[in-house]
Amino acid sequence: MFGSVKPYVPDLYVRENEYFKSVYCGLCRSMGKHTTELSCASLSFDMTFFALVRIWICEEPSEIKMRRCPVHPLKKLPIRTDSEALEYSSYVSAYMTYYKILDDIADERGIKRFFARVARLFAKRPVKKIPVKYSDVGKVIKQDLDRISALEKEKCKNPSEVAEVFGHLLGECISFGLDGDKQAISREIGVHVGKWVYLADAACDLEKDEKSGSYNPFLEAMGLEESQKFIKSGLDGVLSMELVSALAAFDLGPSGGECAGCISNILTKGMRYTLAENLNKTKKKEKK
Amino acid sequence: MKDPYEVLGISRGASEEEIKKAYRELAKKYHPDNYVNSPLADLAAEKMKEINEAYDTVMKDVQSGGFGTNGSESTGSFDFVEIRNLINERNFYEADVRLNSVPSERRNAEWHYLKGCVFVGRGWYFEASKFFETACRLDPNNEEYRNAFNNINQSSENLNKRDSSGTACTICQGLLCADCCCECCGGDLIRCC
Repeated sequence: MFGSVKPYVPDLYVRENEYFKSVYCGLCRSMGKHTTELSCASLSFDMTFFALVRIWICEEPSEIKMRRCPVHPLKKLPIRTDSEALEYSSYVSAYMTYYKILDDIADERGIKRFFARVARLFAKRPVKKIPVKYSDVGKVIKQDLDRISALEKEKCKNPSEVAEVFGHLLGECISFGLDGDKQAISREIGVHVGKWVYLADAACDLEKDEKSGSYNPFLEAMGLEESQKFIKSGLDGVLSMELVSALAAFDLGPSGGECAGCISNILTKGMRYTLAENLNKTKKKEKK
Repeated sequence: MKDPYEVLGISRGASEEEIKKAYRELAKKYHPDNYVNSPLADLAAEKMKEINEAYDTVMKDVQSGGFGTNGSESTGSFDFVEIRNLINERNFYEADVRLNSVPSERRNAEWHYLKGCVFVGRGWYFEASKFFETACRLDPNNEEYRNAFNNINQSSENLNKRDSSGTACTICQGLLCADCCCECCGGDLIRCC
Protein backbone atom coordinates (compact mmCIF):
# COMPACT_ATOMS: atom_id res chain seq x y z
CA MET A 1 0.00 0.00 0.00
CA PHE A 2 1.52 3.25 -1.02
CA GLY A 3 -0.53 6.11 0.29
CA SER A 4 -3.17 6.65 -2.36
CA VAL A 5 -6.09 5.78 -0.10
CA LYS A 6 -6.72 9.22 1.34
CA PRO A 7 -9.48 11.81 1.25
CA TYR A 8 -9.95 14.56 -1.31
CA VAL A 9 -9.59 17.33 1.25
CA PRO A 10 -11.38 20.21 -0.57
CA ASP A 11 -14.58 18.18 -0.44
CA LEU A 12 -14.37 17.31 3.26
CA TYR A 13 -16.30 19.28 5.84
CA VAL A 14 -13.94 21.04 8.22
CA ARG A 15 -15.11 18.79 11.06
CA GLU A 16 -14.47 15.72 8.91
CA ASN A 17 -10.98 16.92 8.12
CA GLU A 18 -10.30 17.48 11.84
CA TYR A 19 -11.65 14.01 12.51
CA PHE A 20 -9.43 12.44 9.86
CA LYS A 21 -6.38 14.19 11.27
CA SER A 22 -7.26 13.08 14.78
CA VAL A 23 -7.39 9.46 13.64
CA TYR A 24 -4.12 9.84 11.74
CA CYS A 25 -2.37 11.26 14.80
CA GLY A 26 -4.15 8.83 17.09
CA LEU A 27 -2.92 5.91 15.02
CA CYS A 28 0.64 7.24 15.16
CA ARG A 29 0.42 7.55 18.93
CA SER A 30 -1.13 4.10 19.25
CA MET A 31 1.64 2.61 17.14
CA GLY A 32 4.19 4.25 19.39
CA LYS A 33 2.50 2.79 22.42
CA HIS A 34 1.85 -0.76 21.22
CA THR A 35 4.58 -1.49 18.69
CA THR A 36 7.50 0.80 19.70
CA GLU A 37 8.17 4.36 18.58
CA LEU A 38 10.21 3.05 15.65
CA SER A 39 7.11 1.70 13.96
CA CYS A 40 5.68 5.23 13.69
CA ALA A 41 7.96 5.66 10.69
CA SER A 42 5.70 3.31 8.75
CA LEU A 43 2.55 5.36 9.44
CA SER A 44 0.56 5.82 6.23
CA PHE A 45 -2.73 7.16 4.90
CA ASP A 46 -3.67 3.65 3.86
CA MET A 47 -3.44 2.41 7.42
CA THR A 48 -5.44 5.44 8.54
CA PHE A 49 -8.20 4.32 6.17
CA PHE A 50 -7.92 0.84 7.67
CA ALA A 51 -8.37 2.31 11.14
CA LEU A 52 -11.28 4.47 9.97
CA VAL A 53 -13.15 1.45 8.65
CA ARG A 54 -12.59 -0.45 11.89
CA ILE A 55 -13.80 2.51 13.95
CA TRP A 56 -16.79 2.96 11.67
CA ILE A 57 -17.91 -0.66 11.53
CA CYS A 58 -17.49 -1.17 15.29
CA GLU A 59 -19.23 2.17 15.90
CA GLU A 60 -16.56 3.16 18.37
CA PRO A 61 -17.33 6.38 20.21
CA SER A 62 -14.83 9.09 19.44
CA GLU A 63 -12.81 10.77 22.12
CA ILE A 64 -10.54 13.50 20.84
CA LYS A 65 -8.11 15.44 22.97
CA MET A 66 -5.88 18.39 22.16
CA ARG A 67 -2.34 17.31 22.75
CA ARG A 68 1.21 17.98 21.68
CA CYS A 69 3.22 15.34 19.89
CA PRO A 70 7.00 15.01 19.53
CA VAL A 71 6.88 15.53 15.77
CA HIS A 72 4.98 18.84 16.05
CA PRO A 73 6.02 20.16 19.47
CA LEU A 74 4.83 23.74 18.95
CA LYS A 75 1.15 23.18 18.30
CA LYS A 76 -1.50 21.28 20.16
CA LEU A 77 -3.22 18.91 17.78
CA PRO A 78 -6.49 16.99 17.98
CA ILE A 79 -5.55 13.41 18.72
CA ARG A 80 -7.93 10.48 19.07
CA THR A 81 -7.36 8.63 22.32
CA ASP A 82 -6.19 5.05 21.99
CA SER A 83 -8.90 2.50 21.27
CA GLU A 84 -9.31 -1.10 20.21
CA ALA A 85 -9.54 -0.20 16.53
CA LEU A 86 -6.36 1.88 16.65
CA GLU A 87 -4.50 -0.79 18.59
CA TYR A 88 -5.49 -3.46 16.10
CA SER A 89 -4.52 -1.24 13.17
CA SER A 90 -1.07 -0.74 14.73
CA TYR A 91 -0.53 -4.48 14.85
CA VAL A 92 -1.63 -4.97 11.25
CA SER A 93 0.66 -2.13 10.18
CA ALA A 94 3.63 -3.74 11.96
CA TYR A 95 2.92 -7.10 10.32
CA MET A 96 2.53 -5.57 6.87
CA THR A 97 5.77 -3.62 7.15
CA TYR A 98 7.70 -6.62 8.36
CA TYR A 99 6.47 -9.09 5.76
CA LYS A 100 6.83 -6.53 2.98
CA ILE A 101 10.49 -6.16 3.97
CA LEU A 102 11.00 -9.94 4.03
CA ASP A 103 9.49 -9.99 0.56
CA ASP A 104 11.91 -7.33 -0.66
CA ILE A 105 14.87 -9.23 0.72
CA ALA A 106 13.79 -12.25 -1.28
CA ASP A 107 12.98 -10.38 -4.49
CA GLU A 108 15.34 -7.41 -4.78
CA ARG A 109 18.98 -7.39 -5.79
CA GLY A 110 22.01 -5.27 -4.91
CA ILE A 111 21.69 -2.09 -2.89
CA LYS A 112 17.93 -2.41 -2.44
CA ARG A 113 18.33 -5.80 -0.84
CA PHE A 114 20.94 -4.36 1.48
CA PHE A 115 18.55 -1.59 2.55
CA ALA A 116 15.81 -4.13 3.09
CA ARG A 117 18.15 -6.13 5.35
CA VAL A 118 18.84 -3.03 7.41
CA ALA A 119 15.15 -2.25 7.59
CA ARG A 120 14.42 -5.76 8.84
CA LEU A 121 16.52 -5.08 11.91
CA PHE A 122 14.16 -2.24 12.80
CA ALA A 123 10.92 -3.90 11.78
CA LYS A 124 11.44 -7.04 13.83
CA ARG A 125 10.93 -5.55 17.26
CA PRO A 126 7.43 -4.13 16.63
CA VAL A 127 6.25 -7.54 15.45
CA LYS A 128 7.55 -9.20 18.60
CA LYS A 129 5.29 -6.95 20.66
CA ILE A 130 2.09 -8.20 19.03
CA PRO A 131 -0.05 -10.35 21.38
CA VAL A 132 -0.44 -14.01 20.47
CA LYS A 133 -4.16 -13.74 19.77
CA TYR A 134 -3.39 -11.76 16.62
CA SER A 135 -0.89 -14.26 15.23
CA ASP A 136 -3.52 -15.55 12.76
CA VAL A 137 -3.52 -12.15 11.12
CA GLY A 138 0.22 -12.42 10.59
CA LYS A 139 -0.23 -15.85 9.05
CA VAL A 140 -2.81 -14.57 6.56
CA ILE A 141 -0.59 -11.65 5.58
CA LYS A 142 2.45 -13.86 5.13
CA GLN A 143 0.52 -16.45 3.14
CA ASP A 144 -1.04 -13.94 0.77
CA LEU A 145 2.15 -11.94 0.23
CA ASP A 146 3.96 -15.21 -0.53
CA ARG A 147 1.23 -16.12 -2.97
CA ILE A 148 1.62 -12.75 -4.69
CA SER A 149 5.40 -13.24 -4.98
CA ALA A 150 4.81 -16.69 -6.44
CA LEU A 151 2.36 -15.32 -9.02
CA GLU A 152 4.80 -12.55 -9.88
CA LYS A 153 7.58 -15.07 -10.41
CA GLU A 154 5.31 -17.09 -12.67
CA LYS A 155 4.75 -13.86 -14.63
CA CYS A 156 1.01 -14.16 -14.22
CA LYS A 157 -0.84 -12.66 -17.18
CA ASN A 158 -4.09 -11.87 -15.36
CA PRO A 159 -3.85 -8.64 -13.39
CA SER A 160 -7.08 -9.42 -11.55
CA GLU A 161 -5.77 -12.77 -10.37
CA VAL A 162 -2.91 -11.15 -8.48
CA ALA A 163 -5.05 -8.23 -7.33
CA GLU A 164 -7.56 -10.70 -5.94
CA VAL A 165 -4.96 -12.10 -3.56
CA PHE A 166 -4.18 -8.67 -2.20
CA GLY A 167 -7.88 -8.01 -1.91
CA HIS A 168 -8.23 -11.22 0.08
CA LEU A 169 -5.41 -10.11 2.38
CA LEU A 170 -6.99 -6.76 3.12
CA GLY A 171 -10.49 -8.19 3.41
CA GLU A 172 -9.38 -10.78 5.95
CA CYS A 173 -7.34 -8.30 7.99
CA ILE A 174 -9.99 -5.61 8.09
CA SER A 175 -12.74 -8.01 9.17
CA PHE A 176 -10.67 -10.05 11.63
CA GLY A 177 -12.38 -10.69 14.96
CA LEU A 178 -15.75 -9.34 13.82
CA ASP A 179 -18.86 -11.39 13.14
CA GLY A 180 -22.14 -11.37 11.27
CA ASP A 181 -23.01 -8.40 9.07
CA LYS A 182 -20.11 -6.35 10.36
CA GLN A 183 -17.65 -8.96 9.21
CA ALA A 184 -19.31 -9.35 5.81
CA ILE A 185 -19.51 -5.61 5.18
CA SER A 186 -15.98 -4.74 6.27
CA ARG A 187 -14.55 -7.71 4.39
CA GLU A 188 -16.28 -6.66 1.21
CA ILE A 189 -14.91 -3.13 1.52
CA GLY A 190 -11.43 -4.50 2.22
CA VAL A 191 -11.53 -6.88 -0.75
CA HIS A 192 -12.42 -4.18 -3.25
CA VAL A 193 -10.12 -1.52 -1.86
CA GLY A 194 -7.31 -4.09 -1.84
CA LYS A 195 -7.86 -4.96 -5.48
CA TRP A 196 -8.02 -1.28 -6.34
CA VAL A 197 -4.74 -0.57 -4.54
CA TYR A 198 -2.89 -3.40 -6.26
CA LEU A 199 -4.06 -2.42 -9.75
CA ALA A 200 -3.52 1.29 -9.13
CA ASP A 201 0.03 0.69 -7.95
CA ALA A 202 0.73 -1.48 -10.95
CA ALA A 203 -0.50 1.31 -13.24
CA CYS A 204 1.69 3.90 -11.51
CA ASP A 205 4.79 1.69 -11.68
CA LEU A 206 4.34 0.75 -15.32
CA GLU A 207 7.20 2.80 -16.82
CA LYS A 208 9.49 2.12 -13.88
CA ASP A 209 8.94 -1.63 -14.12
CA GLU A 210 9.47 -1.50 -17.88
CA LYS A 211 12.88 0.07 -17.40
CA SER A 212 14.03 -2.17 -14.57
CA GLY A 213 12.54 -5.28 -16.13
CA SER A 214 10.58 -6.20 -13.02
CA TYR A 215 7.16 -7.79 -13.03
CA ASN A 216 4.13 -5.68 -13.84
CA PRO A 217 0.76 -7.35 -14.46
CA PHE A 218 -0.28 -4.91 -17.20
CA LEU A 219 3.02 -5.33 -19.05
CA GLU A 220 2.60 -9.10 -18.95
CA ALA A 221 -0.99 -8.88 -20.13
CA MET A 222 -0.57 -6.53 -23.08
CA GLY A 223 2.87 -4.96 -23.46
CA LEU A 224 3.96 -1.37 -22.91
CA GLU A 225 2.13 0.50 -25.64
CA GLU A 226 -1.24 -1.16 -25.08
CA SER A 227 -0.85 -0.70 -21.33
CA GLN A 228 -0.23 3.02 -21.70
CA LYS A 229 -3.30 3.31 -23.90
CA PHE A 230 -5.34 1.32 -21.38
CA ILE A 231 -4.22 3.47 -18.46
CA LYS A 232 -5.34 6.57 -20.35
CA SER A 233 -8.74 5.28 -21.40
CA GLY A 234 -9.89 2.11 -19.65
CA LEU A 235 -8.26 2.07 -16.24
CA ASP A 236 -10.65 4.52 -14.59
CA GLY A 237 -13.65 2.40 -15.54
CA VAL A 238 -12.14 -0.87 -14.32
CA LEU A 239 -11.05 0.65 -11.02
CA SER A 240 -14.36 2.45 -10.53
CA MET A 241 -16.10 -0.92 -10.66
CA GLU A 242 -14.19 -1.83 -7.50
CA LEU A 243 -15.12 1.46 -5.85
CA VAL A 244 -18.78 1.05 -6.78
CA SER A 245 -18.74 -2.41 -5.17
CA ALA A 246 -17.02 -1.09 -2.06
CA LEU A 247 -19.58 1.72 -1.80
CA ALA A 248 -22.43 -0.75 -2.20
CA ALA A 249 -21.09 -2.52 0.89
CA PHE A 250 -20.51 0.80 2.65
CA ASP A 251 -24.17 1.76 2.16
CA LEU A 252 -25.20 -1.26 4.24
CA GLY A 253 -23.16 -0.17 7.26
CA PRO A 254 -23.78 2.54 9.85
CA SER A 255 -24.48 5.92 8.28
CA GLY A 256 -23.98 9.48 9.45
CA GLY A 257 -21.17 11.02 11.42
CA GLU A 258 -17.71 12.24 10.51
CA CYS A 259 -16.21 8.79 10.21
CA ALA A 260 -18.69 7.66 7.55
CA GLY A 261 -18.22 11.01 5.83
CA CYS A 262 -14.46 10.49 5.60
CA ILE A 263 -14.82 6.94 4.27
CA SER A 264 -17.39 7.98 1.70
CA ASN A 265 -15.17 10.84 0.54
CA ILE A 266 -12.16 8.54 0.22
CA LEU A 267 -14.10 5.96 -1.78
CA THR A 268 -15.96 8.34 -4.09
CA LYS A 269 -13.32 11.00 -4.69
CA GLY A 270 -10.10 10.67 -2.73
CA MET A 271 -8.73 7.48 -4.23
CA ARG A 272 -9.54 8.45 -7.81
CA TYR A 273 -8.16 11.93 -7.39
CA THR A 274 -4.89 10.81 -5.81
CA LEU A 275 -4.39 8.17 -8.47
CA ALA A 276 -4.94 10.68 -11.27
CA GLU A 277 -2.43 12.97 -9.59
CA ASN A 278 0.14 10.20 -9.22
CA LEU A 279 -0.26 9.16 -12.85
CA ASN A 280 0.30 12.77 -13.93
CA LYS A 281 3.41 12.97 -11.78
CA THR A 282 4.99 9.92 -13.37
CA LYS A 283 4.17 11.32 -16.79
CA LYS A 284 5.96 14.59 -16.01
CA LYS A 285 9.00 12.69 -14.83
CA GLU A 286 9.04 10.80 -18.10
CA LYS A 287 9.14 14.03 -20.07
CA LYS A 288 12.13 15.34 -18.15
CA MET B 1 -40.35 -3.77 13.32
CA LYS B 2 -38.49 -0.51 12.94
CA ASP B 3 -40.29 2.80 12.71
CA PRO B 4 -41.16 3.06 9.00
CA TYR B 5 -40.60 6.83 9.02
CA GLU B 6 -37.13 6.32 10.41
CA VAL B 7 -36.37 3.68 7.79
CA LEU B 8 -37.28 6.09 5.00
CA GLY B 9 -35.51 8.98 6.78
CA ILE B 10 -38.53 11.30 6.70
CA SER B 11 -40.47 13.22 9.30
CA ARG B 12 -44.04 12.30 10.24
CA GLY B 13 -45.54 15.23 8.42
CA ALA B 14 -43.90 14.40 5.13
CA SER B 15 -45.93 14.95 1.99
CA GLU B 16 -46.66 12.22 -0.51
CA GLU B 17 -44.10 13.73 -2.86
CA GLU B 18 -41.44 13.66 -0.14
CA ILE B 19 -42.19 10.08 0.77
CA LYS B 20 -41.94 9.01 -2.85
CA LYS B 21 -38.69 10.89 -3.29
CA ALA B 22 -37.13 9.39 -0.15
CA TYR B 23 -38.26 5.95 -1.20
CA ARG B 24 -36.93 6.35 -4.72
CA GLU B 25 -33.52 7.41 -3.48
CA LEU B 26 -33.24 4.54 -1.02
CA ALA B 27 -34.49 2.02 -3.56
CA LYS B 28 -31.92 3.20 -6.05
CA LYS B 29 -29.19 2.84 -3.46
CA TYR B 30 -30.10 -0.67 -2.34
CA HIS B 31 -31.42 -1.98 -5.63
CA PRO B 32 -30.52 -5.66 -6.15
CA ASP B 33 -28.77 -4.74 -9.39
CA ASN B 34 -26.14 -2.89 -7.36
CA TYR B 35 -25.32 -6.07 -5.48
CA VAL B 36 -25.43 -8.61 -8.28
CA ASN B 37 -21.85 -9.77 -7.82
CA SER B 38 -21.69 -9.14 -4.13
CA PRO B 39 -21.75 -11.59 -1.24
CA LEU B 40 -23.81 -8.95 0.54
CA ALA B 41 -26.75 -9.47 -1.79
CA ASP B 42 -28.80 -11.07 1.00
CA LEU B 43 -28.18 -8.20 3.34
CA ALA B 44 -29.10 -5.69 0.65
CA ALA B 45 -32.24 -7.65 -0.14
CA GLU B 46 -33.18 -7.56 3.52
CA LYS B 47 -32.66 -3.82 3.62
CA MET B 48 -34.69 -3.46 0.44
CA LYS B 49 -37.47 -5.48 1.99
CA GLU B 50 -37.43 -3.28 5.03
CA ILE B 51 -37.67 -0.18 2.84
CA ASN B 52 -40.47 -1.66 0.79
CA GLU B 53 -42.42 -2.57 3.92
CA ALA B 54 -41.90 0.87 5.38
CA TYR B 55 -43.06 2.46 2.17
CA ASP B 56 -46.15 0.26 2.06
CA THR B 57 -46.99 1.14 5.63
CA VAL B 58 -46.49 4.84 5.08
CA MET B 59 -48.37 4.93 1.80
CA LYS B 60 -51.07 2.40 2.49
CA ASP B 61 -53.14 3.28 -0.51
CA VAL B 62 -50.28 3.67 -2.94
CA GLN B 63 -48.91 0.48 -4.37
CA SER B 64 -45.15 0.28 -4.45
CA GLY B 65 -43.70 -0.08 -7.89
CA GLY B 66 -42.16 -3.53 -8.23
CA PHE B 67 -38.76 -4.13 -9.55
CA GLY B 68 -38.51 -6.16 -12.69
CA THR B 69 -35.03 -7.56 -12.92
CA ASN B 70 -33.83 -6.99 -16.40
CA GLY B 71 -33.54 -10.60 -17.50
CA SER B 72 -31.12 -10.90 -20.34
CA GLU B 73 -32.71 -12.06 -23.54
CA SER B 74 -31.18 -15.10 -25.16
CA THR B 75 -30.70 -13.99 -28.71
CA GLY B 76 -27.53 -15.99 -29.08
CA SER B 77 -26.73 -18.68 -31.54
CA PHE B 78 -27.66 -22.20 -30.56
CA ASP B 79 -24.25 -23.15 -29.13
CA PHE B 80 -24.21 -20.46 -26.56
CA VAL B 81 -27.75 -20.71 -25.22
CA GLU B 82 -26.73 -23.24 -22.60
CA ILE B 83 -23.75 -21.20 -21.56
CA ARG B 84 -25.96 -18.14 -21.24
CA ASN B 85 -28.24 -20.10 -18.96
CA LEU B 86 -25.31 -21.13 -16.82
CA ILE B 87 -24.26 -17.51 -16.51
CA ASN B 88 -27.78 -16.48 -15.59
CA GLU B 89 -27.73 -19.15 -12.90
CA ARG B 90 -24.42 -17.64 -11.77
CA ASN B 91 -22.63 -20.92 -12.37
CA PHE B 92 -19.54 -19.18 -13.70
CA TYR B 93 -17.17 -22.06 -13.20
CA GLU B 94 -19.13 -24.44 -15.42
CA ALA B 95 -19.75 -21.66 -17.96
CA ASP B 96 -16.02 -20.96 -18.14
CA VAL B 97 -15.16 -24.62 -18.61
CA ARG B 98 -17.59 -24.85 -21.53
CA LEU B 99 -16.36 -21.60 -23.05
CA ASN B 100 -12.78 -22.80 -22.91
CA SER B 101 -13.71 -25.98 -24.74
CA VAL B 102 -14.98 -24.00 -27.73
CA PRO B 103 -12.40 -24.41 -30.54
CA SER B 104 -10.56 -21.21 -31.35
CA GLU B 105 -11.94 -20.84 -34.89
CA ARG B 106 -15.45 -20.65 -33.45
CA ARG B 107 -14.67 -17.97 -30.91
CA ASN B 108 -16.79 -15.17 -32.31
CA ALA B 109 -18.02 -11.90 -30.83
CA GLU B 110 -20.59 -13.66 -28.67
CA TRP B 111 -17.96 -16.00 -27.26
CA HIS B 112 -15.87 -13.01 -26.21
CA TYR B 113 -18.92 -11.34 -24.73
CA LEU B 114 -19.84 -14.40 -22.66
CA LYS B 115 -16.26 -14.80 -21.51
CA GLY B 116 -16.43 -11.18 -20.36
CA CYS B 117 -19.65 -11.93 -18.46
CA VAL B 118 -17.93 -14.79 -16.66
CA PHE B 119 -15.12 -12.46 -15.64
CA VAL B 120 -17.57 -9.85 -14.39
CA GLY B 121 -19.12 -12.61 -12.29
CA ARG B 122 -15.73 -13.35 -10.77
CA GLY B 123 -15.02 -9.67 -10.20
CA TRP B 124 -12.16 -9.63 -12.71
CA TYR B 125 -13.12 -6.36 -14.31
CA PHE B 126 -9.87 -5.76 -16.16
CA GLU B 127 -10.12 -9.06 -18.04
CA ALA B 128 -13.85 -8.52 -18.53
CA SER B 129 -13.33 -5.13 -20.15
CA LYS B 130 -10.72 -6.59 -22.50
CA PHE B 131 -13.09 -9.34 -23.66
CA PHE B 132 -16.00 -6.94 -24.06
CA GLU B 133 -13.74 -4.68 -26.09
CA THR B 134 -12.89 -7.53 -28.44
CA ALA B 135 -16.57 -8.50 -28.71
CA CYS B 136 -17.42 -4.93 -29.70
CA ARG B 137 -14.64 -4.89 -32.26
CA LEU B 138 -15.84 -8.13 -33.85
CA ASP B 139 -19.46 -7.03 -33.90
CA PRO B 140 -19.61 -3.23 -33.65
CA ASN B 141 -23.37 -3.04 -34.12
CA ASN B 142 -24.40 -5.28 -31.24
CA GLU B 143 -26.00 -3.22 -28.52
CA GLU B 144 -25.71 -5.92 -25.85
CA TYR B 145 -21.93 -6.09 -26.17
CA ARG B 146 -21.62 -2.32 -26.38
CA ASN B 147 -23.70 -1.86 -23.22
CA ALA B 148 -21.62 -4.36 -21.28
CA PHE B 149 -18.41 -2.60 -22.31
CA ASN B 150 -19.81 0.83 -21.50
CA ASN B 151 -21.06 -0.42 -18.15
CA ILE B 152 -17.48 -0.90 -17.01
CA ASN B 153 -16.01 2.09 -18.78
CA GLN B 154 -18.58 4.49 -17.45
CA SER B 155 -18.84 3.09 -13.95
CA SER B 156 -17.06 6.17 -12.63
CA GLU B 157 -20.20 8.14 -13.44
CA ASN B 158 -21.92 6.26 -10.62
CA LEU B 159 -19.34 7.72 -8.28
CA ASN B 160 -19.85 11.24 -9.58
CA LYS B 161 -23.60 10.91 -9.30
CA ARG B 162 -23.50 10.07 -5.63
CA ASP B 163 -23.14 13.57 -4.29
CA SER B 164 -24.33 15.83 -7.07
CA SER B 165 -28.00 15.95 -6.08
CA GLY B 166 -29.38 19.44 -5.55
CA THR B 167 -26.26 21.36 -4.63
CA ALA B 168 -26.18 25.13 -4.91
CA CYS B 169 -24.25 24.76 -8.13
CA THR B 170 -26.98 22.88 -9.97
CA ILE B 171 -29.57 25.39 -8.79
CA CYS B 172 -27.46 28.23 -10.21
CA GLN B 173 -27.03 26.32 -13.44
CA GLY B 174 -30.77 25.84 -13.64
CA LEU B 175 -31.41 29.53 -13.12
CA LEU B 176 -28.87 30.52 -15.73
CA CYS B 177 -30.37 28.10 -18.22
CA ALA B 178 -33.83 29.44 -17.52
CA ASP B 179 -32.51 32.96 -18.02
CA CYS B 180 -30.98 32.06 -21.36
CA CYS B 181 -34.24 30.47 -22.50
CA CYS B 182 -36.16 33.58 -21.53
CA GLU B 183 -33.70 35.78 -23.36
CA CYS B 184 -34.06 33.69 -26.48
CA CYS B 185 -37.76 34.43 -26.45
CA GLY B 186 -37.15 38.11 -25.89
CA GLY B 187 -37.82 38.17 -22.15
CA ASP B 188 -35.42 38.24 -19.22
CA LEU B 189 -35.40 36.31 -15.97
CA ILE B 190 -32.27 37.68 -14.34
CA ARG B 191 -31.80 41.29 -15.27
CA CYS B 192 -28.09 41.64 -14.64
CA CYS B 193 -27.06 38.90 -17.09
